[in-house]
Order: sequence, then structure tokens, then C-alpha cells
Amino acid sequence: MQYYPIKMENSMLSVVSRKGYLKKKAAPYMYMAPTMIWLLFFIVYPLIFALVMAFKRFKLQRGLSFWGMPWVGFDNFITAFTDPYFLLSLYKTFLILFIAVSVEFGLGMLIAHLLNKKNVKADFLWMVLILSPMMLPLIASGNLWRMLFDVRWGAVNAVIMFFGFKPIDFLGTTKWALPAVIIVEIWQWTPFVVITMLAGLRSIPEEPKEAALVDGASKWQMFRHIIMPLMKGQILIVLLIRSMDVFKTFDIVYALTFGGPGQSTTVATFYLYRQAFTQFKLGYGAALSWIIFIIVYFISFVILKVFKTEEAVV
Amino acid sequence: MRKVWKRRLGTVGLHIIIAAISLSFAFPLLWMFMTSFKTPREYYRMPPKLLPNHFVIFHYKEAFAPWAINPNELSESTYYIEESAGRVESVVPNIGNSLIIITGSVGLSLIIGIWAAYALSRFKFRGSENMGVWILSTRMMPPIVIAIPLFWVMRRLYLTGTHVGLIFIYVMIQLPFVIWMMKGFFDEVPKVIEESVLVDGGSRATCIFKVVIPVAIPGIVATALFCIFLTWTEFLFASVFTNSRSATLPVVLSWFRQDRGILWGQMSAVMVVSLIPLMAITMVLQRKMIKGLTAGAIK
Repeated sequence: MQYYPIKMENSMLSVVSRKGYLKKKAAPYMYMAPTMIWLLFFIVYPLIFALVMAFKRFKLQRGLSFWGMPWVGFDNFITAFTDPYFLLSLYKTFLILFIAVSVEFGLGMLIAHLLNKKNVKADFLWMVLILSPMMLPLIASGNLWRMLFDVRWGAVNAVIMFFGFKPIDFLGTTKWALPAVIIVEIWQWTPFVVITMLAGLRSIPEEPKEAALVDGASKWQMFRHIIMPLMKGQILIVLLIRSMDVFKTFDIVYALTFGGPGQSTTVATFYLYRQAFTQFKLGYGAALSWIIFIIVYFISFVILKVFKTEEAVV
Repeated sequence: MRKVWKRRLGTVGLHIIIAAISLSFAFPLLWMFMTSFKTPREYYRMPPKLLPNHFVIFHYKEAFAPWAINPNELSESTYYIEESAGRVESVVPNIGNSLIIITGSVGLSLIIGIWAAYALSRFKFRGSENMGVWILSTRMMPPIVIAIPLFWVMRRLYLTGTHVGLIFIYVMIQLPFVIWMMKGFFDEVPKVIEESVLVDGGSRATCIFKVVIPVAIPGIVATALFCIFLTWTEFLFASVFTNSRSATLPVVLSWFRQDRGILWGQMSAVMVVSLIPLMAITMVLQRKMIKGLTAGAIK
């Protein structure tokens, strides 16, 4: 008896019957349809809606109606780029981006290296402890650190005073509020870097390391020329996801400082929230959304270009 | 002999460093746990102390079962600022809201996402690569960007302040993760059985429900747990699209800040409880979580 591979028969069937062929072609699109419709309706449609709204101005007396908003051309965008508070909020966001992400990266890498040493016992316990900040809702971690940062009865100042320094009013002074936000960011997100880096470190094969050891490479050389290139993928993920998520820093600011004191911790997304949902400048808010959206896409584009990894598909 | 001792000393030193780092990461949570058992007089103590003098479960009663509070219990030691600042009502209904919304959204996004994941895993069709990448890239967008127009859309559909509205939005958040995680799990299911089903005249639906899903059940559970992890803590959309009756747990956490002070004790109690599900999930899926968090970023 002649044996045909199953695949072959299957494709023959579809060629024989025209209807079956069409059905086979259409099937994947039908499976994709619900997802696509959902995402188009809840992401693409709102984005286009926002783009149209960005050219309009919201008038409270005409109620919450789209057609009641007069067209204002590029006014909202011009206002945005001349609005000192918005530019300041962008500056703060980038400050958080650079400081927080680089500290998280360094610290996360270091901790992952320590945990990856061969003689570490009970690594499950340490992992759970280190990962614990990740489990806290962001809004709760804002609340929690508000308690810890208090100038009179907070734990952080107790430690500072224990070492003989003067207590610092973290949340009440413009000088220290932003560092406080950055500290919370670092505390909250370093675990993510640790868990990703550890996964990367554990997937590195032994051979190149042994070869480097035989050739007499120092620890730093080994790290720089063997481990770093092999962990390119994980490094890319961390940089990409963290720099995108800095633009989502909303909950922490909301709970910790509510953008204050003054404008000192008003990051871009929080400024947008204030403009749109407390001052009801919906048209202006929509314009700001698009500006932030473009910045985020631009940053991820730059990171991907810098890494130039063909296999990365985000 | 000397060398051995040196190595042992090195190991001990390493463990001390690791223990110090991990404890400093966990310390704020420990502080929160202890605060939930302190009386106001104790958590406003200067200088602060980590351990309470005696553990009081007053704040847990206050947060979850205010009707169980014995008025005689409100002696000066327990109630201090609380009464003057007002009290948030029991958060049990809000936990109910959270559970309804999470169950609904995880169920719905699995139902929608499994088909797409199956298509991406089994078919090579025109634009399959691009569709996959596009679905994933929606994760990059800061949620606040679409909050304004969505607010508008939801108002027109009369869905603001309802469970259904938030369920729809959470499905949107979860879908990219569901699809990419499930695609990974489906890829691991061998295709041979399916092909024989197809040859025997079975339909694709039979393949999915009788073959693929039963095999991929652990993966589906992991995906569902990861989705819970994603949305249990979501605050922005929850705060925009709920009212006082449909508020979820993260929204409630922002209510403890009142005009005349913050209800630290009650708030800590609620935060401790809100941490429990995520703690459990993290224990269960330490490894799989990386897969979700970094979904599809590397092929």
C-alpha cells in the first residue's frame, strides 16, 4: 500500500474542492477577526478620535458633544510647545527615564550576578523577597512610601537620623520630591530587571565562558566581551519595556505627591491627566496625548535601531 | 585547609550581602504589614518603631467588617485620628467589584484570544507576521493616551460606571498578552494529532476544543493568572471609568487620603489583603511570569 504523508493529502483535498480551498484561505482571518475588531475599536478608533479632537477646543457650555467643539486648527499643538509647564513635565519625565532606568539596570544586573553565583543557597527565598515589590499595586506602593517618607514619623527619616543626619522632608520640598519619586520607581522596578537578567544569565552556555577562562580573561573582560553580547536580547527587553513604562508613571505620582509640591513632580502623563480630567481641556489633552504617543514610539524606535537586532520583533 | 576556610568565608559574605539586599527590598512591605496592626498612637510615634507593642486587628475589622466593631473597643488607644477624619466604608463590595471585573475580563479575553493565538500558531497567511507584531506593539502605548477618547466612547455607550465598561477595557489590555503567551503554548502542542483529525473530516473547531485546549490547559491557567496579575492592580482606567459604587480595589486605596489626614492603619490593612492574590500567583508562576512580562520581545 502506498503511504502518503498526511500533509500532502490535506493540501490535495483543498485543491480538489474549490469551496474547501476558499474556506481554508479564509479560516485564519476569521479566527483573527474578533481580536482585530476589538483592538481596532478600543485602541485605533480612540487614537484617531483623539487626533481629530486635538484640532478642536472643548466648550463646557455646549456640553460633552463632539460636534459642539469648534475647530481651532493647530492651536492646541502650538499651545503645547509653548506651555512651560508641559515642557517642564517632559523634562521631568526624561530625568526619571535616565536616572531610574540606568540605576535599575546597574542594580538589577549586580543582584542578578550575585544570585547567579554557584554557591548561593536558598535562592527561591531570596527571589521571593526581592520580587515582593513587584506584587504591590503601584497605587499602594505610592501610599506606602508616603508613609515611609514622612518627615516626622517615617521610617526613612528614622534611618537618616540614626546615622546622625538632619531629617529630610522628602515630599514637602521641591528639591527632594522628584528624587523621592525616582527612589520609589527604582524600588518598584528593579525586581523586574533582576528576574529578566537572571533568566538571561542562566541561559548562557558554559563553553564560551570556559574558553575565555582558559585564555586568561579577567572578570571584567569576561563580562564585557562574553556575557554582555550574549545577553543582548534581555538588555534590549529591559531597556525597551522600562523606558516605555516610565511614560506610564502615573499611579506612583498620583499617590505619592499628586504632582506637587508646586510642579516639581508633575510628569508628562500626570500633567495630561490634570489638563484633561480636572480642568476638562479635552482638546488640549488629546493634543498632549498624541505628542506623548509619538515620543514613546520614537524612543522605542531609537532603542531598536541602536541594538540593530534582527530577531527582535517588538 | 586555609583555602577551604577562605572559600567558606566568601560564601558567608555573599549570603550576608544577598540577605541585606533582599531584606531592604522587602522591608517597606514588612513595615506596611506591621502598620496594619498598630494603633494610630503607635504609627504616629516619633521616632518610629517597627514592631507594634501588641497586635491589634482593629483595622482589619474596620476595613472589612465595620459592623463587627464593638463600640467599647473604641478606647482612646485605638481611635485617635480615625473618627475625626471619617472612615471608609467596608471594602468588601469593592473586592466583589474587582473579582467580577477580573473574572469577566479574563474569561472574555481568553475566549477571544485563543482563536487568534491558534491562527497565529498554526497558519501562515498573508500578513500573519505583521498582525502579530502589531497586536504586540499596542502594549507600548501609554494607557492615558487613549483615556480621553475612550471616556467619550464609553459615555456614548452608557458604559461609564458599569462593570461591563471596565471589563471591555481590561480585555483590550489583556489581549496582546493572552495571544502571545497562548501562541507560545500552542506552538509546543504537536501538530500530528490535529492533522489526522482534519484528514478524518473533523473541523478546525474540533481540533481546538478536543485536541489543543486539553493539552494546553496548564498554559491557559498560567495565562489567566498572568492576566489577573496585570489587571488586579490597574488604577488609571479604573479611576476614570468607575463611580463610587463600581470602584475596584486600587481605586479604593486612593480614598483613604481624606481632608484631615490619611487613614494609615485601615489603608495598610486593605493593602496587605490586596497583596495576597498576587503573592500567591507569583509563587505559582515565577518562571512563566518572565515569559509574559517580556512576551514575544525576542523570538
